[in-house]
Amino acid sequence: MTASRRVLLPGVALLLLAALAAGLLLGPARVAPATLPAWLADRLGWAPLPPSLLGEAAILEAIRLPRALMAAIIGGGLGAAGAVMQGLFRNPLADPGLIGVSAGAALAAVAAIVLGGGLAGLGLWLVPLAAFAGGLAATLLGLALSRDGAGLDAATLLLAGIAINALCAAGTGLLVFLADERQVRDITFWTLGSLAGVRLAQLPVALLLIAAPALALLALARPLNSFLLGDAEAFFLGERVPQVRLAAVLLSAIAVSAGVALTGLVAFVGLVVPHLLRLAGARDHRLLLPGSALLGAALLLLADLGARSLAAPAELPLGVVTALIGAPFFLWLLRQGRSA
Amino acid sequence: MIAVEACSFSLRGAPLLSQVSLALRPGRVTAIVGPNGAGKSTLLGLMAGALRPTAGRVTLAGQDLRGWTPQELARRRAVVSQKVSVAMPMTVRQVVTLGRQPWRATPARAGDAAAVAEAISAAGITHLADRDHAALSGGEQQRCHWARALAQLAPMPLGGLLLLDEPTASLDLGHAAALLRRLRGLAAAQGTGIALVLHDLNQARFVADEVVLLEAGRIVAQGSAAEVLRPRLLEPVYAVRFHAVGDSILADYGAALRDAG
Repeated sequence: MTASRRVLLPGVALLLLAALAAGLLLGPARVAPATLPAWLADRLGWAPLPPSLLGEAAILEAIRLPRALMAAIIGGGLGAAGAVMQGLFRNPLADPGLIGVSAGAALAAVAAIVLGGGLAGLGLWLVPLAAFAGGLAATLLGLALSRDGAGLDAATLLLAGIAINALCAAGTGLLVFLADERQVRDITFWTLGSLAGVRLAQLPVALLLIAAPALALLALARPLNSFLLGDAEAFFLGERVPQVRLAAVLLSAIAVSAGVALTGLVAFVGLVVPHLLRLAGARDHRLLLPGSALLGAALLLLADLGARSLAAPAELPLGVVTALIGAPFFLWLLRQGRSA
Repeated sequence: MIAVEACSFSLRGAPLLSQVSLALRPGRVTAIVGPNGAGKSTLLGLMAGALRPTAGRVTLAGQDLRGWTPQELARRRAVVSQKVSVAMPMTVRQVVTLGRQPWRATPARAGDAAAVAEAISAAGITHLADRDHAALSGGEQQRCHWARALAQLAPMPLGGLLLLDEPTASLDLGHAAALLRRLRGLAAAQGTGIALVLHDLNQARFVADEVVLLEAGRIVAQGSAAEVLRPRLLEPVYAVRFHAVGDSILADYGAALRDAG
């Protein structure tokens, strides 16, 4: 563990830096690599920007930077939440979507689009706000249904999640049926996920509702290690089982709901990222959780880069790219698990 | 000391234990025996704080268990469960190291590595330390969790308290004897208070200072091993004939099989 710990986190952090640089420099408009240090030096007040780089620096700051930062924060939140869910439910196939977070967010976002008359009239905040509230509401409903005396029954929470997922999907379907053509297009666009619409103004929200809960999740690493032996053993080892579970579910739900609210549905990041790290030898949650946050950030940055460059000048939906990469990988993983 | 005071426990209306009283004293080994469904594991669960009595109370050092935080409990008693499933791939050493979780942020942390190594060696699994837990046999897994409890127990004041649910169930005779020997050693040398559920009455005969015989949620006999483990008391409870041979107590499977034929 110590050897992989020494190598793994710095390795993933380097990958994240590389992905960040790629996300900032690559795209339809050319931004020379030299722009990046020059722009940084200017922003830090070390050296003014050479006039020749003003245009490229403007692209960097106005378009690439918000998008890259948001991709990193949202991907980090999805990765950390996925790792926490898998540890909490002692199931390597768990994902925040399992308890209905994403479906609840989607239902509320679609409701806002349909009842509000389409994306165009709703401003920057209404759909994200609705999605965030919907994701949290679905989670709270699942939590309320799975209350078991003082604690939470994990199996009931998962089963309730299946029902909540189905219910939200039915509600979403009904709204799509009621929607006009333009709204259906908006819904499709939103559902497939994209970072094209993010603005720098949303950054504080992302820090507060995604980065902060994700950081708080890291503090659950030690208890989650005990959870791998089951609830009873975790209690015997001194963990406050109901409190840890509630905190883990709520913090994950906040981070994932906010992520969905800002980008739409982005599949498979939370599921695949912890698996990749486990394959690389990360078993201890003290390593797995920060690793998943960093790797999730890097992968969503790269996926977004793919989304905007694979079919340039058109942009592929982000959710399509993550699923196109994630789903085959996941199938491969299933086969591996069976043969192991 | 853990004291079970006139405890009853029901689950969904089914009474599993009624009016059970029992004290777990430092330096003493108490064996809980009885047929399947008699309430042995339930009684152990009450003592561990995993279950709350529906009537009566369980105390640790005179204070109701409900007043102790999970962490305070984990620093005074260790539990070896019947069966533990490990959800993700983990090595034996990683599992045993989890026994040190209650001691994080305490001075005892300094002894983590030594305590883990000692526990692994005491459980006879040094050669398995870097193996995946899932690749072990049932008995080897049981010894792995036994080692985890030993690692948890090591820094406890006054030798701590140890609760074990059928710890020898999957062990071969040699490893069962080694575990029982270790239990006696802990009780004698450190003053550890030990309660364990056993099916093998012969093991109970030799390891226990006190034996509690349960049947259908009630204590039918309680006292020294020599007092409780007598054919006259056991035969109606188990519906099997017993013979006392020297100090041993043996079930007469031959007679049981002849009766069936």
